[in-house]
Amino acid sequence: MPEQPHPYDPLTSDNTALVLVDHQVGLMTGVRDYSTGELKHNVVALAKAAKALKLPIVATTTARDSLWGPTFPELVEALPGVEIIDRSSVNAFDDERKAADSKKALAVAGIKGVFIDRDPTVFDRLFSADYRQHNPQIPNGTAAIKALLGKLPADFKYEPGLVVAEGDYVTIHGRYFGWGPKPMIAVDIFRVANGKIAEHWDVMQEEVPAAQSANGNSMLTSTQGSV
Amino acid sequence: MSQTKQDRNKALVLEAFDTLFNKRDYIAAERNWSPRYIQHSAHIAPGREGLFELVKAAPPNLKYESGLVVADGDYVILHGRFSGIGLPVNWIAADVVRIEDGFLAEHWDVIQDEATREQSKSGRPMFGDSLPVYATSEKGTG
Repeated sequence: MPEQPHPYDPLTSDNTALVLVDHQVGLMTGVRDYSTGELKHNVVALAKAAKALKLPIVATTTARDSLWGPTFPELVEALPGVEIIDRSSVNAFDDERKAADSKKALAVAGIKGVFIDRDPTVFDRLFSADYRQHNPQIPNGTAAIKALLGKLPADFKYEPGLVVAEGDYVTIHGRYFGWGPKPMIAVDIFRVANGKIAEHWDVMQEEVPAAQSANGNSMLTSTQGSV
Repeated sequence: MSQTKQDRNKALVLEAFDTLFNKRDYIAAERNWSPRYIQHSAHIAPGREGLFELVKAAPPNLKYESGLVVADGDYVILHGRFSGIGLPVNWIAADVVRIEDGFLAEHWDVIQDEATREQSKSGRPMFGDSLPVYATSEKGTG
């Protein structure tokens, strides 16, 4: 066994996700140790509890169009807005999309924890002890952002937009109010390592309202989707 | 497979940026940029033509360097640096591109002057492995 990468952390909605693997109609008949009705009831209850706790939920199927059929409808109904990932490999954790989803959830929880909830405990929970800062206006490490948190103006606000994640990197397009006199559009880039936010880059620019833009379009648009 | 689509989208965007900003081959670039290109970058005139005209008017030493590129769904985000833009500073850019039917179809960006060592409180580069030293004594506007 490899060495444990980091010490035990209590489970919270920020470091936990529910993974529902292959609850497909064609696989139900293989369940013999209790009734299908009871199985469905328990899984739906688990999914609803995770929804209520706002846990990230990853649901999968295997070969749903060719072999095992769709996810049972009661579960689909309990998972509005959750994309069910159909996979081709047997080991669900081989699918890199699930790893990417958990990193995405971590980075979003981190930026929201800092700039929306302004929760000072977020640094110890979600950020690496040797957090590397590349923003030229903020000193290295998490202590500097923690100190910054207390100095944010009352009308400070952050609105996350599109999140694009791949591998160890999560990028978030968003808008900050209260850094300066005008709203700032930003792309924040996070690197995730060992289950923590380890490194940060960003690019920030004063927002030019659509009416003053060379093309009449907004610098940040809702059509991109948001978190 | 989504892996293939992500890799394809990343390769497309990198080729498109290199073709337009570095090679300045406008004919080849038309194969990458959609004729219905939607621009959200505040300083660039609408459409593919607006972007191409901007590059045509840029200094001859214009250069684009790409760093991190991430792809997810129909979107690609690039972290990059524009130098030789006719200013005493470089621009660090995060470009957000939406891909549709094999074309760069829509674009948003965020642009910031690249900070020097003297300007950086974190001491870490905004882009790449080192902080820039600008040729002139100007310190930029950052």
